[in-house]
Amino acid sequence: MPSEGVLRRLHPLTLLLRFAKSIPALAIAILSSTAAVPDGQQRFQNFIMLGLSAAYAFVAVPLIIAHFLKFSYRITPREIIIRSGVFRRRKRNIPLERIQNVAIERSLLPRLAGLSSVKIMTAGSAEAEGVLEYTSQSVALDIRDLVRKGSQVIQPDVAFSDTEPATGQLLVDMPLRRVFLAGAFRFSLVYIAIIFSAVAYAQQFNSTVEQAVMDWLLSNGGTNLVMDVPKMWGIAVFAVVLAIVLAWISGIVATVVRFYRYRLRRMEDKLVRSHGLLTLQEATIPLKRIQALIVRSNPLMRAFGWFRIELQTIGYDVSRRGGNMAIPLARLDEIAQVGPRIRPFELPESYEHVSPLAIRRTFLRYVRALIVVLLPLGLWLGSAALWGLSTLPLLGVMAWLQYRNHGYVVGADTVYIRHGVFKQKIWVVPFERLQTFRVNGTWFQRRLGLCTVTPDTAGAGVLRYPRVVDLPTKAADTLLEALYAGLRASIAGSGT
Amino acid sequence: MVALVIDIAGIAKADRAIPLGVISGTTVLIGGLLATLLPVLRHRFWRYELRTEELALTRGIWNRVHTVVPLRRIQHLDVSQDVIERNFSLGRLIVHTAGTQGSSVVVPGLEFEEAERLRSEVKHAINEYAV
Repeated sequence: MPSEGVLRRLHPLTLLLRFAKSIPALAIAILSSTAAVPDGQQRFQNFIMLGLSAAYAFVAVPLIIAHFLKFSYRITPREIIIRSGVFRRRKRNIPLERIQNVAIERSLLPRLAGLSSVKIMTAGSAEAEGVLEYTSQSVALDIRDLVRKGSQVIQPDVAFSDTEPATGQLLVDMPLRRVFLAGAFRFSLVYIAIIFSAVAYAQQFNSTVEQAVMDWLLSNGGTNLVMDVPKMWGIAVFAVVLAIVLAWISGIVATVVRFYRYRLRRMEDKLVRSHGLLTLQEATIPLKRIQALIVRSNPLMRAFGWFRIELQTIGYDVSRRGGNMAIPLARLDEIAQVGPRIRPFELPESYEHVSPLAIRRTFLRYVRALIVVLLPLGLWLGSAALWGLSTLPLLGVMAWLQYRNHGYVVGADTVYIRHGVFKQKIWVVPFERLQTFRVNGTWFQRRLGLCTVTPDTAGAGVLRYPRVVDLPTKAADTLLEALYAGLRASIAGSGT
Repeated sequence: MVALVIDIAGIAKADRAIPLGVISGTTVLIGGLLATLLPVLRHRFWRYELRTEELALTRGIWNRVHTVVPLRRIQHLDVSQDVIERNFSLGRLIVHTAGTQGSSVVVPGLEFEEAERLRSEVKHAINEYAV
C-alpha cells in the first residue's frame, strides 16, 4: 500500500525486463552492420561485433542501471511526484485531481514476472504524463484505486483481488465465441499486404520455398507445367485464395489476442475497459471526454446484422489499435440497449439523403482516379490498358452505393451522419460536443448548387471526420441552422 | 504562394535554358499575373463578421469556405504579426477551438489595431457568457 509520501522505486525485476528488451536491438544492430560488410572480411565482421558488444556492455547496461536508480516516485494525498533522468534530472508533479485516466498494461513478460506498467494521463496531452514501468501488480492497482477516488484518503482495507474492478455496471462481457466472430469480420487487407511482403522478402534471400512449390507441382502435374497457361492461372488463383485465407486467420488471431475477455463497465461517470490474452490492458475513460460514438461496419457485417462501436475521445491514446474500442461486435438491438448507457442515443431507421447529383460527382471522381491509374499502364501495356475501362459500370454502381449509404439525421439532441460502403461509419455526435461549423463548396460543387457541411468536433480523425457531402445549398443552410440551434440549446440547458 | 512556386519553377527552367527562355518567360508572365491577381481575388472573397454569438468567416476562390465559430467554443485567442506584416503594420487574429479541422481559425490581413480591437471585442463577448 503506498503510504503517504514514501519514496518508492520501480520493481527490481524491471532491470531484468529492460535488459531483455534491449537485447533484440543489439541483435539487430549486430546483424545489420555485419550484413553491410562484404563477405570474406571475417576479421572486420568480428571487429564490428566486438565493438558493438563492448558498447552495449559499457554504455547501454550502465545506462539502464543508472536510469533505474535515478527513477523514483512518491505518492502523497494530493499528488504523484516522479523524479527521473540520468543526465537531466526531472521532477514532475501530477496533482491527483488532474489525473483523468490510469491505464494498466501487462504484456507477456511483465505478466510472467508479476509486474504491470502504469500510465497516468491528464488532460494536458494525448500521451501519458507519467509512466511507471514497471511496478508490482498490487501497487498498480493501488494507484488506480487512488485515482478513482480522486483526492480522497486512501482506504487500505478495500481489497482488489483481481485486475478487474469489483463494482460498476457491466455493459459488455464478450464470450470467446463472440471475440472469434469479431475477428472473422475484421478482415483487413493490411494482413494480406504484410503476408505478401513477407513472402517477397523471403524470396529475395532464398528461393527454397519457390523451389519446393515447383518440385511439388512438378511431381504432381507432369513436366511441361510451366508452359501450361491454364495451370499457371490455377496457381495464381490458388495463391490469392491462400493469401486471403491466411489474412483471414491472422485477423482472427490478432483480434482474439487483443480482445480476449473483453469487458466494458460503467463506474459512475467513467468507463472501465479490460481485455487481452497476452497483454492485459485496462483503461479508464471518463464519459465527459467522449466526443462522439462511431458505429462501424462493413458489408459482410451488415449482411449478418453485426456492428461495432468505437469512441471518439480527446486526450486519450487512440494511436494504439483498439484504443478507441467500445463494443467490438454487437447486434443492432444490443447496441440500442447498451450504447445509450454510454451516452443516450437512438440510431435512426432511415437517413436524409444528399443531392442525387452526388452520384455523378462521385462517379467522375472515380473516373479521374481510373485515368490516373490507366495512363501509366497504357504507356507500359499499350492499348491493352483500355480493358481497364470495362470497370466503368462497376464504378457507376459504387458511386450509387456511396450515395445510398450517405446520409444524415438531426435528432432531438444528437446528429447522426452515415458515410461509406466498405468501411461504413455512423457518427453519433451529441449537440453539446459540436465545436465549429464549416460549409464549403468547390467550384464544381457551386456550379451544381451543392456544398459540404462539416460539423467539427474535438478529437476527430484528420482524414476521416463527420461531414455531409454534396448537399443542396438550401438544405445545407437548414442543416447548419439546426445544428447551431442544437448547440445553443444544449449549452443553455447545461449552463456551461 | 502558388505564384511564388511557379516563379521558382520558372527560374529553375531558365537555368537549364533548354527552350531558351520561352517557357520561363511565359511562366514568369503568368506567375506575375497570378501574383498580382490572386491576392486581389483572395482579398475580395475574404470576409469576416463578428456577430453577437459567433464569428463568421467566408474565404476562398476555388473552394469557397464558410466557417461559423460559436464564441462560446473559443479556447484562446492570438494576435500575431510576422516580419512582412510588421512592415505594413498589419496583423492576424487566430482563434483557437478544441475542434479538429477548425481548431485554429485565422483572420489575416487586418490592420494591427483592428486585430487588437477584434480580439478584445471577442474576449469581452466570451467574458459576458462566463458571468
